[in-house]
Amino acid sequence: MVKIDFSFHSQYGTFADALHLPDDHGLTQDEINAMQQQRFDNWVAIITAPPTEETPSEEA
Amino acid sequence: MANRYWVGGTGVWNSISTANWSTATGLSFTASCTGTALTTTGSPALVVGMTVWSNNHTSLGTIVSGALNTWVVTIGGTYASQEMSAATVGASIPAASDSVFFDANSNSGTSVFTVTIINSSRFCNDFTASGLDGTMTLAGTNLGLVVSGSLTFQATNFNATYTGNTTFNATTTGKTVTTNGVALAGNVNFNGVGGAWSLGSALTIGSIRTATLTNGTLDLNGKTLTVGTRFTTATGTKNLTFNGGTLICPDPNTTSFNNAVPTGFTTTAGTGVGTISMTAATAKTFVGGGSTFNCTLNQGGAGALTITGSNTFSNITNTRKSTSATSILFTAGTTSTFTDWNASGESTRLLTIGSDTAASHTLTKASGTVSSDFLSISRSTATGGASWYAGANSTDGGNNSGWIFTAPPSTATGNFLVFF
Repeated sequence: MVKIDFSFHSQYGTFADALHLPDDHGLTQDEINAMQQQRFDNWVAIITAPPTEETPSEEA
Repeated sequence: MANRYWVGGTGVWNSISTANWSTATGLSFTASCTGTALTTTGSPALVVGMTVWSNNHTSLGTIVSGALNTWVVTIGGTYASQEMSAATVGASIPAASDSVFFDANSNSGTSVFTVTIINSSRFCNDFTASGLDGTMTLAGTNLGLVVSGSLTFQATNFNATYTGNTTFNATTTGKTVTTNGVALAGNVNFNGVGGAWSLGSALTIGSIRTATLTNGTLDLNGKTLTVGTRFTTATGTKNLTFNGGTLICPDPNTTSFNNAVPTGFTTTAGTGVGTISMTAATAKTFVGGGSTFNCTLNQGGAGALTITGSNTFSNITNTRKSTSATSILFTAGTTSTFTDWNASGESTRLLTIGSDTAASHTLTKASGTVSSDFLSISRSTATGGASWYAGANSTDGGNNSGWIFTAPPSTATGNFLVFF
């Protein structure tokens, strides 16, 4: 397993994450960069989403 | 303590069905089937008693006889040559002490499959999704996982759509939580006396969900934990360790960060600078509970940040200044203690420092110099031994004490000669 740490700095604070990939992942650096950017974009979308009502999480 | 491997593709994970659990990882192979005659390509290590699935996860039944490339199954059918899978199923349902694995042999070929949690939340020791070659979805409505060990999700080919809680209840240290870019749709609880978890990757919790720290140590390990509605503490002995990590509280509510039970709650800086960042665009509250926060508290959103309780912080910052004006309000009558103060505004984007009501609060710093600027300060008593310079561009809104509305004296030194 390969672990690739990365971070993005934004007005909201630092987004620090890591990609854990199999040793034989075969991804190019551009593809890895795209995965990192996608994670950051997903994160920004979540923290900038409009406020929502909290709903209970029921457990059986 | 045993291992349980998911086999057979799509199925349900409940307290009854053993149809998809094996004590060993499954087999993947190429075969065709006519009636009950199964003909394989190559020499897969099939044995009598194994269950065989087609590439759409239809069971061909169990192998009752055969050898080499010719086998007889109980159900069969007509299947052209395709990737199939097989395993000896019937292993007992994973218990809390058993580790569960989802891997390349959990399905047939690269087919997509769904594991649905039903009836009640499911228990396991380690949860590992790794090596998946077809997309797996872990589903469940208001049902989730109770993980006594570590959790590892795969970066690709894995979705978690279950909406129940994920509870980590280890009572020993050394556990890891690696969600690898997969957001958790339900609440997340850390509740194991003596347990300790470190993040292997960023952990993001669904927008309407909470993270609760009850017992144990949660080490952000330099990564970002993003909660949905709030981060909260509960009754127990709990520690939040940063090691350079960041806790993001993005929701605008009165308990975005809620140290609801400060008794037994500690924080540890570790290596690097840890941060709690309150990023909501509208008003939000940091409920400190009078605890010591060995980290930086950051105002990271346009909405006013109200801080309740007499708390101690390593530092306070305002990253919102690059975008807009904003406010940090302290509860009247409280005393907030800082090791460092780096909250300031910028030209045309003032940072308002005030109280939440028409009374004063106190800020204290034991020594050194506060060098801020572009503040609008009111009802603020600055004390403690430090020199509190608000800066030349700050404004005195009244009812202040201890603030010096100038820039600090230059500390620049130059070489000079002394002649006798």
